[in-house]
Amino acid sequence: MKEGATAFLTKPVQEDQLIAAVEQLIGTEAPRSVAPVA
Amino acid sequence: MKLFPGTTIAPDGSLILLIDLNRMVATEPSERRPIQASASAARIFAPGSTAIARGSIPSEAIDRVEQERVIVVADDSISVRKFVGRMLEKNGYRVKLAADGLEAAELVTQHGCHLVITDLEMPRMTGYELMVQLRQSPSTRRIPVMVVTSRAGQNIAIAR
Repeated sequence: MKEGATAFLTKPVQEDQLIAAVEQLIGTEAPRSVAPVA
Repeated sequence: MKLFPGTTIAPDGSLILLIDLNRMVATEPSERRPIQASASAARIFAPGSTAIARGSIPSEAIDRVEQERVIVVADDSISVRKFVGRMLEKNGYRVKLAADGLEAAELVTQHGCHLVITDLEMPRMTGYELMVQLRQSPSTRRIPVMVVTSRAGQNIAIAR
């Protein structure tokens, strides 16, 4: 998707799939986004 | 050396309380002044403070405060976003819920986050528009976005 989606998940959401996808995306060392834009 | 009533931390990690008993029992208000030689001082040792000051405690033995991972969940269905939010919170994530893309964009801009999970069809600002807005700002450009929708062809796909 050209708008920039990193991953897709189909409803109804299954917990194991959701958590697996989330962990794959942000893991344990994901840098938090920068400070709010002024 | 002049000592004033108050607290300080010693190099060994202990907490030192300097108490001017004369001032505590005085009936007249007194201005801040050095304590008299007869004043009492107390030193309180916290368990392990000396070892911590020496650096002799292995780092593995010290509990670390993990950085909380924050996820913004945007869905116009309150049942879906609460359901997804509960699953995430149960697995240790901190969740912020948004009823549409606009609310999600505001949350991300104001507080930042590690991940955005969004539906596509929402009032005021759709998931598509939310992604466009996030990708336009240098501060939010790199935040991963997971689309949760009934319109996707595959059950799950991670972009490489």
